[in-house]
Amino acid sequence: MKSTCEEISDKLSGFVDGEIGATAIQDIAAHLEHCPDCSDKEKTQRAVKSTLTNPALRTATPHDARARLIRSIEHQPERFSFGALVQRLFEFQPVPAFATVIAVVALTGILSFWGGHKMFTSTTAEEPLALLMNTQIEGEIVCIDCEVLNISKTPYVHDDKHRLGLRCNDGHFWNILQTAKGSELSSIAHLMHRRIIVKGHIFPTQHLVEVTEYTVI
Amino acid sequence: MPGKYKTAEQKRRAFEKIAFAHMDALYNTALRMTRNVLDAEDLLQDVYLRAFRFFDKFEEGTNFKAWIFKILTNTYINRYRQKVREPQRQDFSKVEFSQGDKSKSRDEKYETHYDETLYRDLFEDEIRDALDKLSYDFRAVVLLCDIEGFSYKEIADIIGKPIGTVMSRLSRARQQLQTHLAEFAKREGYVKKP
Repeated sequence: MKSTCEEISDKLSGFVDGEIGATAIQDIAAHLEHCPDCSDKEKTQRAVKSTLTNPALRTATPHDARARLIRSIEHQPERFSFGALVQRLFEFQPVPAFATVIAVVALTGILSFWGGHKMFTSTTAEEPLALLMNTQIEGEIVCIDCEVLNISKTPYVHDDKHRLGLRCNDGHFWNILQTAKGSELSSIAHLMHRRIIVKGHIFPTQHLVEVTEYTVI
Repeated sequence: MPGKYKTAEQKRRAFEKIAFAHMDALYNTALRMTRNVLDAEDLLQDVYLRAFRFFDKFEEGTNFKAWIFKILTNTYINRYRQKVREPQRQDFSKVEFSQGDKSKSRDEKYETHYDETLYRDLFEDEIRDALDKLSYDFRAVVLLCDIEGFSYKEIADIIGKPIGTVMSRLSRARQQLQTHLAEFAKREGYVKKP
C-alpha cells in the first residue's frame, strides 16, 4: 500500500512514539528513505518531543495553593447538619442507623456520667456516629493546616489564613466549627500550643467540634 | 457513606493518599491550559473537589492519573474554555500539510530543520510561549503526551476522541510548535543564518 505524504504526516507522531503497528512502521520507514520533506518532518517530531523533556517546564504547585487545596479537601465532606446526617443514615442503612442512634444516646449518657473522660475519640472514630452532645475533650491548640501539610510531607510555612484546631491526647485532630465561640477560640493567636478543655458537641465522622465553652489549662 | 468506604474519613484518607501525588502534574497542565496562574489554581481546586466527590466511582486498581486528568480536561472545557480568551484562535484542523513550503527555496527551508538538540538551549519561557500559541485541542495532546507521558490510548480516553485523532493532532501540533520554536531560535540567534 502506497501512502501519500499527507497521510504519512499525520502518522509521524505515532511512528516516532512507537504507537503504530509493525506494517505501518515499515510503510513509513520506506517512504522516509526517499522523501526528504517527510524525513524533515519526522526529525521535527523528534526535536520537538525532545525539547519538551526540559524539566524546567514543570512548575511545582505554589505552596499556598497547595495548602488551600488540602484544606478544602479536609473540610469537604458534607457540610454539617444534624438533620441531614440522620436522614442519610436512615436512607442508606436503616437498621444499623437505628442501632447507631441508640448507641449514641447510650454513649452520651455514659459519657456524661463519666464526666468528660478524655479518651473517647479514638474508640469512636471507626463508628459512623453522628453527634455526641455536651461532651468534653482535652487537647492542644495547633494549626491544622500546618499539621496536615506536615503529615503529607509538603514543605509549608504558617500563614494567617490557616485554621487552628485541637489535637487530642490520642493524636486525633479536631476542626473547630466556626460558631461565635469557635471563631473566638481559633482566632486567639496566643492560645497556640496551649492545652485547653473544650465543652461542646462533637461530630466524630466530620472531625469537627462545636465549642460551647472552653478553659485554658 | 454508601459503597466501599465506611466513613467519610476513610474515603478522604484513601483519596488523599492517591490523589495528592499528582498535584504538580495537574497544576502544571492546568497552568498550560489556562495560561494564567489564578485560573490554574481555581481549576486545580475544582478538579480535586470533583474528583473527591466522585471518588466512589473510581475503580480501585485502574489508572487514577488518567482518571483525574479526564476530570481536568472536562472541567476545563465546561467551565473555563468559554471564559478564557484564546488569542490567535485558528482552526488548525483545517490547516493542511503542504508538500513542502513552496514559498521558500530549498536552502532556506533546510536552515530550520536539523537534529534533536536544536531547541534545547531555548529558555523554558520561550517553549511555554510556543505552547501557548497552540489551539487548545493541539496543546492538550502535546501536554498529555510529551510532558505527562500518557500513551495514545490513555489520551484518547482522556479527551474522548479516537486514537487516530490523537495521532494526527499530535503530529500537527508538534509541527506547529516547531514553527514557533524556530522563530524564537532564529530571533535569539541560536540558528545561524547561512
